Amino acid sequence: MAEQLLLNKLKENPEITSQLKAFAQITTIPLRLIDSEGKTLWKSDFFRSKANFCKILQSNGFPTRSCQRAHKEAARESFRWGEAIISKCCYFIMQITAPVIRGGKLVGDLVASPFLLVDPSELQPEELVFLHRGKPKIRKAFEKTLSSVPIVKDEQVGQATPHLFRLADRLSDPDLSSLLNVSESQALQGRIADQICDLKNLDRDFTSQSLSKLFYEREKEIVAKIRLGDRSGAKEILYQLLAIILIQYLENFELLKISILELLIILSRAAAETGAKIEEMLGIRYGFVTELTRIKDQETLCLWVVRVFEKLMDGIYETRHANNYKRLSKALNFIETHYGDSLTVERIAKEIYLSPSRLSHIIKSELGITFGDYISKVRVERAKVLLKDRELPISEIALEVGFPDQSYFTKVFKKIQRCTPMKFRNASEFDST
Amino acid sequence: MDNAINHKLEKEGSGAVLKRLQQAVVQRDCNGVKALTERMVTEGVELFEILNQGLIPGMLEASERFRRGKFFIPELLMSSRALKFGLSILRPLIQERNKDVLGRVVIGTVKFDLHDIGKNLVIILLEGNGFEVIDLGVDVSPEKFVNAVEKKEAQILAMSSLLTSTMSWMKFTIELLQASGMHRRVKTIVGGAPVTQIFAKNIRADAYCREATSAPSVIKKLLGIEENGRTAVVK
Repeated sequence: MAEQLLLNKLKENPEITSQLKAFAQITTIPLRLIDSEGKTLWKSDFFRSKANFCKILQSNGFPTRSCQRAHKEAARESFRWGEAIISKCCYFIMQITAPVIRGGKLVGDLVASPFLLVDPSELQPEELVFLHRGKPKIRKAFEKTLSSVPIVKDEQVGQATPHLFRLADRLSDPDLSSLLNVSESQALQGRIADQICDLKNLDRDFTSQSLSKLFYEREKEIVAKIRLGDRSGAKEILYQLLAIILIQYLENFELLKISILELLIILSRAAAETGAKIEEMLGIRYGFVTELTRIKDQETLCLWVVRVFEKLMDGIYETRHANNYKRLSKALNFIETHYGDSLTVERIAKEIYLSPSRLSHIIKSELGITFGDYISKVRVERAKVLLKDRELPISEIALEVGFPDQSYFTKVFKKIQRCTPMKFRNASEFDST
Repeated sequence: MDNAINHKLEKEGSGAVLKRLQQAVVQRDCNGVKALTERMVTEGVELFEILNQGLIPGMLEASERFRRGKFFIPELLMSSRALKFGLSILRPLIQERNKDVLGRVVIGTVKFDLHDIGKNLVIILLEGNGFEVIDLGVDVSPEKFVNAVEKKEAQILAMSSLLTSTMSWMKFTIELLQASGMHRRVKTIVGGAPVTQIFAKNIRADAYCREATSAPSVIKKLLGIEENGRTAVVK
């Protein structure tokens, strides 16, 4: 049934067939469309002209795993992750697999295989040990076949992978958008996991107390960013907040939900204060509770939070009073590009045609921190990047980011980062190895 | 042995060579990894030093590059391939040194988790420290873990997870172990990039392993075994 539908799809859409052919030609990797039973429904011309590596292996009693099984496993994985998967097919032979779905079910897959990531001459004797089992004649045949397998460079494989997914998308019905949700969710989980790793590297032995403190700090920061309308900055902190929440409550879904709800209330309050329409906010807040009860797993919950956050930010953009915001962003841009100089409120105020007291007021009211604190933060953030380069002496970094000397730099850094620059550098050294 | 490499090695200290070994893993240079490992073995460099300061940091750097989006899957796979060549030289030598078995460890990545680079490093280190390791591979269900622990009479159940979305399976496995009553004689240890001390405590794991290299000493501590000075260097 599914098989016939797939064949019809190819017949009715000759442009898909030509795209499949083009894929095989451009990448030089043979391409096949396989149904869920493992039956080949379509294969590229290219595929026919090359000797089949797998057949030689299997017909001569080499220990192999069945190609069908390898493809099936890869198809299942690609369906699960919502993306095309690069994996080993057998020994050093590689494959790229993308799922074809119909009505939400996996009905087949596109398999680009076989190809090699290294030149056969670079294969190590250890990798060819299994060949010793075969007769010399077979070994010869094998080597000959191996030389017909295309060698594809790392980066080309990287490019071919999303391409294959798009082809599978065209073959799927309605399309793979349901899987895109999955891959978005996985990408988000990856980002949160990255944040957890960064936290682990920064603070080796964090406790519930130190995490709560950090959460509180980040909460203040995200509110400041929301007030400023700094969407990407706020989002970055949102990932950190989610990481802190997950560390504490990942194994307890009810507590996780409560923490997330608390976080959303803070975010929506900040959005409302910043100028999002109150009625809309109330609508969204009411929605929190009803939608939250329906969510049954952590991944969906995190994705949902990020989406609610986007909605809140949209609300701010639509309605916020733009005047203060424009001036503030001018001032902040100036700070971003001149943090290495000695900066005073007077100097920046002059740059943006405001009185110093008015500028101080805007910064305090919009960001929730003083002018001095803000500049220190910008400088410390920049210093954190520079500290990763071990060649740079700390005294030089201090001057580079605008501190008068190393001891003042260390003092400010410690206050903001809760560790000395040296300690931070050592932690990130581990991080990078 | 490549002559150029040979010549260079004579001039360099072992620290610099270890650094080059590390880079060879990152650069996916199989021949380089093999040559440098072999050379250091013949020069009498401590096996664990080669492992802990050359091969493992190289693999960790490759993983880190992947995490930061600088490496894609093919590069990571090729680094892991290069690593294997170094390990295949060290493994038999390390195993030879440990005739007495300190304990039996069942290990695997949890259900739905297919990331096994870290787990494989832990296995090498544990074997090198005299543990018998039963590797259940990837995507291991709680039932499979618990059955293996029972069948093999293991003292340690080690689980790894690299994804926030699969970490809960550690909890389910520990719960199943408790339900079976075996938790009294089997200690559990968890690790993986997003796994933290707090999480380990919350799911009632007996120990948390912060990085692959600390696994042997953490497990020895769990079993009340004295450190014998040959333990992996903990960074």
